[in-house]
Amino acid sequence: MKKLFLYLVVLFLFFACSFDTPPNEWQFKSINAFDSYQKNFLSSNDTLAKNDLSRAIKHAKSSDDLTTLARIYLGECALNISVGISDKCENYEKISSLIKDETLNSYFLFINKQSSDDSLKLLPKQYKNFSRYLKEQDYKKANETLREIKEATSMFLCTAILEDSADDESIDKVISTASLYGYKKVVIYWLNIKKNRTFDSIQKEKIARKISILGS
Amino acid sequence: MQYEKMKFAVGLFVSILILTIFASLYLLLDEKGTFDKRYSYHFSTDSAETFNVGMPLKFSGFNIGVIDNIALKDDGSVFMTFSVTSKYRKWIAEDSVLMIKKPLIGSPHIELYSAKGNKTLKEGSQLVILKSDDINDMISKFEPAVNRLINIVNSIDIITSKMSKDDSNLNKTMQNIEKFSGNLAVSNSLLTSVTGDDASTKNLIKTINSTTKIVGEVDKISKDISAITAKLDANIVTPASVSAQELEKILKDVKQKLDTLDSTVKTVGSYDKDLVELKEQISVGLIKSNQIMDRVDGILQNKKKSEIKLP
Repeated sequence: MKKLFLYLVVLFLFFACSFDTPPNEWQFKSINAFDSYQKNFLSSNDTLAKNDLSRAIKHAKSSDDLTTLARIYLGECALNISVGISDKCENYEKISSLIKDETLNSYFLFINKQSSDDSLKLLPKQYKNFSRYLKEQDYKKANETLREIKEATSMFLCTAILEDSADDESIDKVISTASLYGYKKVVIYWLNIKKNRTFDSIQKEKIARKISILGS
Repeated sequence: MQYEKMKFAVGLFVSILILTIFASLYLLLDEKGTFDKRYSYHFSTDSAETFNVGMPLKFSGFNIGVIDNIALKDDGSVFMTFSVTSKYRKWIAEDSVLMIKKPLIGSPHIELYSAKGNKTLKEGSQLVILKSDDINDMISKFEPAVNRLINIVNSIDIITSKMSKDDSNLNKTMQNIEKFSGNLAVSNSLLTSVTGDDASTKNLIKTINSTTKIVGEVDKISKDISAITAKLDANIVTPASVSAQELEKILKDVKQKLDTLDSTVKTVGSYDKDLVELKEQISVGLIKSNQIMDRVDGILQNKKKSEIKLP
């Protein structure tokens, strides 16, 4: 009887622990919503993406610490740049003075191609070499570096930052990676770039048909 | 030790349960007479039509037995075996007769007719069976109706015989009518025949003439009044009436339009409220669905990240 009682108490405690909610639940909700936004945005699920972003922002606005909100604004800006949407990160700029995190500012400078020597040091490690080569205008090495980036979204961002300096190999790599993940928006954007660069009319027509099929 | 006790308790419970089930089943079947000894008897018929195994044998409306077996004999007749329980065996006695009943409504059955006090027949004895004709059944059903019909015919006969007597009311009425028609035939005037004498008739005619004159004068007065009112109608009443009718039409039209406008305003007002309500409900629905999505995201997310990962 005692054993049974103890067993029930332990079971109850386990259940109680498993259903405990952390005090910063808003942060987790915001992070999860932003992750979902990232996937939906890149996959061209625009309605869902819009809803996810608004949820992420809403939860991030639950706290006095605006770092999460700043990261959301920067993330949104970076994703827009990744798919060729012009974005100057105005939302981030409006609250940047209230943020103490310097790494965010260096990231902001990086995606706007305004990196300084000091800001380069504070960048995430996957961007450090790339941004150095970019600053030195060594596009060949920059292309090589970006092709080695493991994070797909980081690769998309670097290729988009390179713009015209991105070589065909890098573009093909981006298209194949985006296709693997099903990121339709990225695929269509880079197929368009590829089509504009191609002089072979047959190849051009093929790419145009692909874009048409994906866009329908 | 505790486990052994539990095993014993479970075993005991299961055993008692099984015993109880079997005991209940036995009692139920016993009550139904399944285990009672049954006594078989026989009867023969020309045809097995309408008979079947399981057909009930009734006595005074009670089922006392059933047909157990039907067999065709070598001579073409049908040999039937039925059985009864010991409780009802006493009714299968000497001089007992069976009768197959085929009612118009209901299933056929065998009826047992038995005299009280006769000696009970031995098991295996053969009984006589009679057939109840369907037509007889029908006749027996129609008998009350026929009896009522006969009563009605008798009543009609009594009424007609009473009416045919000399001092009956009908005869007296007929005699009075005859007298009246006789008077009509003798008198010159219908009025004289009604009033009884000529003087009264003359007075009546005089009164009628005066009345005719009065009616003529009244007619003249009414014509004069009609002429005056016609003049009034042409000069005053008709134009006023036309104006009034037109005014009434206009007012009706205005009222109708106002009613329409009022209902439209009300409808628009209600739509406005509905739209606001709908909007609120949609917002609530969206918030709720967002909450669910947050929870789902939380469940699907295995690792709880501490900050947003930038691309």
